[in-house]
Amino acid sequence: MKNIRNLFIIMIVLILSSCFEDKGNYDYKDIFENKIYIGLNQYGATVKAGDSINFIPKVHYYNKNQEDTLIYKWSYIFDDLGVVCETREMNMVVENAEVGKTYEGILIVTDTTTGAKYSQNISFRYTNPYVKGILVLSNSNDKSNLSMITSIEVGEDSIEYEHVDNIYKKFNNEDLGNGYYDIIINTIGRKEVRLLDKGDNSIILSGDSYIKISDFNSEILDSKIPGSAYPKDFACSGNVSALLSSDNKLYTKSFTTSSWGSGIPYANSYFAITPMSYKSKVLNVSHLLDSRNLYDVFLYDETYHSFFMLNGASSYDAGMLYPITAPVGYDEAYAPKPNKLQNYKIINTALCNQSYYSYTLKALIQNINTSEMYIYKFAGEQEEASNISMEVFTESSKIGDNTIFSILGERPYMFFTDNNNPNSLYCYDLRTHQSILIKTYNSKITALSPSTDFNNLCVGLEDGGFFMQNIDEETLISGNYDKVIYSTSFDGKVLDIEYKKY
Amino acid sequence: MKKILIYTFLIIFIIISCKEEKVELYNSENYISFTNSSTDTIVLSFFLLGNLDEVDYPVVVEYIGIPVETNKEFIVKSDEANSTYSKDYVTFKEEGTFGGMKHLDTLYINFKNYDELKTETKIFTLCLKENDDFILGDKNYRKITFKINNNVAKPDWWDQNVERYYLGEYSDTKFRKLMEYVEPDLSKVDESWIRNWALQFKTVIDRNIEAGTPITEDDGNPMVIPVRM
Repeated sequence: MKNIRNLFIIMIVLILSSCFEDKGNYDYKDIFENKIYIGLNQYGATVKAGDSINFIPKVHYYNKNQEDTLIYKWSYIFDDLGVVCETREMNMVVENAEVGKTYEGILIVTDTTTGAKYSQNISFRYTNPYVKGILVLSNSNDKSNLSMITSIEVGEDSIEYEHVDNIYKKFNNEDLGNGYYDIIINTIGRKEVRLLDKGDNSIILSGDSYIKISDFNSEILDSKIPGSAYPKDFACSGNVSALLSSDNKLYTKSFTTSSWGSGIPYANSYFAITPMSYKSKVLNVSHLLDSRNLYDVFLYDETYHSFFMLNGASSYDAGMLYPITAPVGYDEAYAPKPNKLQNYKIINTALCNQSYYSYTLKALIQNINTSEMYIYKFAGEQEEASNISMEVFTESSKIGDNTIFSILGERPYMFFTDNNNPNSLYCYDLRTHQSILIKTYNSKITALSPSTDFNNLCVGLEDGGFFMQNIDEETLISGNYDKVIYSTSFDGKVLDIEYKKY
Repeated sequence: MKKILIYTFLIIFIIISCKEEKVELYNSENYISFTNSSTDTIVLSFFLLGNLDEVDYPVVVEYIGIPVETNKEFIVKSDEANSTYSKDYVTFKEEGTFGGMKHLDTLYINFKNYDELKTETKIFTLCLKENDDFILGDKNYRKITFKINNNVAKPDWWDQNVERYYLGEYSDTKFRKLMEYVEPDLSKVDESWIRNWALQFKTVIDRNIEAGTPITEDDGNPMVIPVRM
């Protein structure tokens, strides 16, 4: 009996202990019983610095009983910033976010009753409020100043403009210096703003932040344009960039696809210090042209008296020079070929493009024997020109060495200042060959720049005056030509104006 | 009284026992050696230096020993048993001098280019000699060896991309002409410089074609530089 009792006790103990760690018995619970799907008003927010970042979740509840309850915890988390918001809707200025940097993040919604998590990827980016606008370079007492005119849409068809002075100092904490005379904006390969000076100080600013990122000399082999020349112009296309020096020599850099790093990125390529030649003769380039989204760069050379195309479309042929030729059988009786302009001087020229390869080129040219001036035009598909025409320019008496031009690439007008009265702005209709006086200002006109849609023209004056004139079709046919949209003034003399769209 | 005497004598003995002794200086021999190890052969190519006719190569000699204010002379000689370079084409001063309080001196070996170097590499060995002032130092630094030639050889950087985009197919003649007309600084080899050299070279080739004196390969075919311009 005693043995049985002992045996029984042992059995009970064994049974109990064998069940002690039995992990096979659970209380099952569905953690997704309050499942939701998260949509958002936007998944990537891009706003101007200083504005609020706004994400509004649109939630689909699988369990209708949980609509509008507080069982969910919301967390907006971004790389490098951590949790920035813990409310359902995010509508806030993220104070320590860098301008220009994209922050990838995630919205995590936690069901606090079950622990289930639901997520949605999001991102945001602050843009510099000064990325787009009109850049104005002025000079006062030998000090250069880069300023900006920005615009804000305040309603339907209503825009307000703001003059922001000294934008260079605003972002670089130092004065710009002196001697700058030209602005060049490049959006190909790298968004940048280039400021040219007549010495060794031409610089490159970031197109997003206007912080100085480099200088011209650092892009050139041997760190300097040969001789004592300075940069006069710059053009960029798909696979080639061209730098025109003050002695009319052309230097290029190309971006070839090579195994040395999957292609030479823009920032790592250098301008060769061998000036471009064609058939052994060094080019003497008087005009350098590019156009947004056009693959190739164009130029006029006075060695060969020819327009050339500098190939930028193909990485293999990048940097190749092609004279612009007329079609086979072309009759030169009406207009000279683009590669046979030895009897003419190119006074001004402009380019616009219809596609990556096709373009229209317009030029004001002068016969060197008769001094007669003409509007010379041709269209083209890479190096072959078509629709070549030449028509007499009827206002040659107003043109001289001090005339400033603005040929509207896409519209049939050319704006120019009267060499005899440089305060006066004229508009020449390329179809009718008639000109109209737009306005006579109180000071000499020193800069002209059309807007990217060619409906406005910015005018800069020697006394620092600035006017944005409306030049759309309605204005030009109305008879009321002097329609000023905005005006302001800068210290000193306006030297250059450029529209910056990106 | 007895105690006073004992103490007085003790003090006197202590005082006279602390005599002055001079600090001994390290007194050893002076050892002379090159700063280059004899195991590191110096390679010179007249061609890669820019088709030079002669070059002055600096050789640094040092000595380890007590510095002195007066000049000290040392001797270098060519090791003729280990040299194949023609004696007529190398010159150097066999005596060098360490200036007062200096441990280094530089002497220059002048090598002249000659025809055999286009096809053969020659050896020149220089060695130090003992004299009254110097004993030879570390055995690995007593001799210095040069390998000298004027050979052309395809450089590593002249690869498929350079052939395709810039200089075209390699040939010894083309490389010699490049060196002659463009004088590239081969210490700066990168794609931008190669492109620049190619642009220069192509301009020279085009000018020669126009002048009726085309630059050709050994087989008479025109030299082709594919760089885009």
